[in-house]
Amino acid sequence: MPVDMARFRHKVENLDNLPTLPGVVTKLSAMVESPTISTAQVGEMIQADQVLSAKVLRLVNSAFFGFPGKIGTVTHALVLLGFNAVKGLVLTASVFDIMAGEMLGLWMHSLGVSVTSGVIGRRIGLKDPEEIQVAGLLHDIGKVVLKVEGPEYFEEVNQKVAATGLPFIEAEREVLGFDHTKIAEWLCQKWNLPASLRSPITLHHRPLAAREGAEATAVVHMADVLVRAVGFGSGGDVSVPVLEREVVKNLNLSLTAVEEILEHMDEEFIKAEDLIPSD
Amino acid sequence: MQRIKLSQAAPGMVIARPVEASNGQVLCAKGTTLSESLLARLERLDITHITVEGRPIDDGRPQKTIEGELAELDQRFKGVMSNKMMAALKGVVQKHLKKRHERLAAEEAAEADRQAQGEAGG
Repeated sequence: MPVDMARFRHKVENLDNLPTLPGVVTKLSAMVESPTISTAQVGEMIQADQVLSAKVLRLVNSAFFGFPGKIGTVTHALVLLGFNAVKGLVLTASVFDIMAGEMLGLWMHSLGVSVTSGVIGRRIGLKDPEEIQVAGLLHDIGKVVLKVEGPEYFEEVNQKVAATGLPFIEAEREVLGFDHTKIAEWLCQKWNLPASLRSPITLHHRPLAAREGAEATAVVHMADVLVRAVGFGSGGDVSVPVLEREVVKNLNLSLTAVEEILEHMDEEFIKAEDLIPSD
Repeated sequence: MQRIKLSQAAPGMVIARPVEASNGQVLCAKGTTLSESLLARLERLDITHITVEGRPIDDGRPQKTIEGELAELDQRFKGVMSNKMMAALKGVVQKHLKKRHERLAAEEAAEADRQAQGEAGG
């Protein structure tokens, strides 16, 4: 099925809302209604939600607020937006249909990459580990948008993966002619996201192509590989992508360090389980 | 260890991660054994979830056998084994999965011991 890229891009850019998860939104609504909640706590809660993070960052980075391309973390965004704006975001998000099944696996994978990016980032002494967690959370946002704006394409890609065992990204390229990182690129441009987010989101599969934001990209690339390697959640396929040797070298991480990172990941994954909706 | 709802918690279970109040204050240190009064206190303080040692609650998640996990690992790495870095990474993950399984088995054995003792004394 030939994809009219320009038309699809137009659809993607005019995306007003993305689906989010009930568990997180319900929790946040409860927190927001309490008079004793601190800004930092709300910040932490939203930061763990892919869609709410995207909404908050998009808003803060628009020319309307006067900080174009400079706000990378939700907590900072909260300080600028204020509590009431956040409340409005939660209510907006809560009217959307919830993605289950395939998207739940992706949500877990994204949570895993977010958590792991934080673990690696802190280990190598990154200045803003929260920001890299936001990047990790958003790294596969293109796949969510593909499903929402192009469900028939999404279905075709999944069928191709099931039939051929190809990695999701390669199936995307065969079906669409481009992949989820391209879709994410359109969104990053539209939302004026800073390089520290834009680079990992668009180049986590090609970390060596990164310029500005290269370190963040390297971290998210490695986190993506590690989360898939341990099988936490699902990125749409069961194959582990190749970890770029140069990335490991540049991050100065030995295999012993990786062992320790895997242990740390396990502990952090348990914390993240709180954000996965259960019955 | 297992993250459970406070409503599922019972006396005798052991805290695996410190329980914190919403302001960050530590209410319950790791290693504390739960009692009726402690559970009541946590409930009054609006704590909804805690992490305990072992896996006392049947959460409907099938426990993967180590053979199952290693087989899935093989499947995941199938296409990249010719890459030396990936082959080495697989080795590290394999070691990690085995270690994790051993630790879980040890925790479960300790939990079973505690329950048996509890029953004997109770």
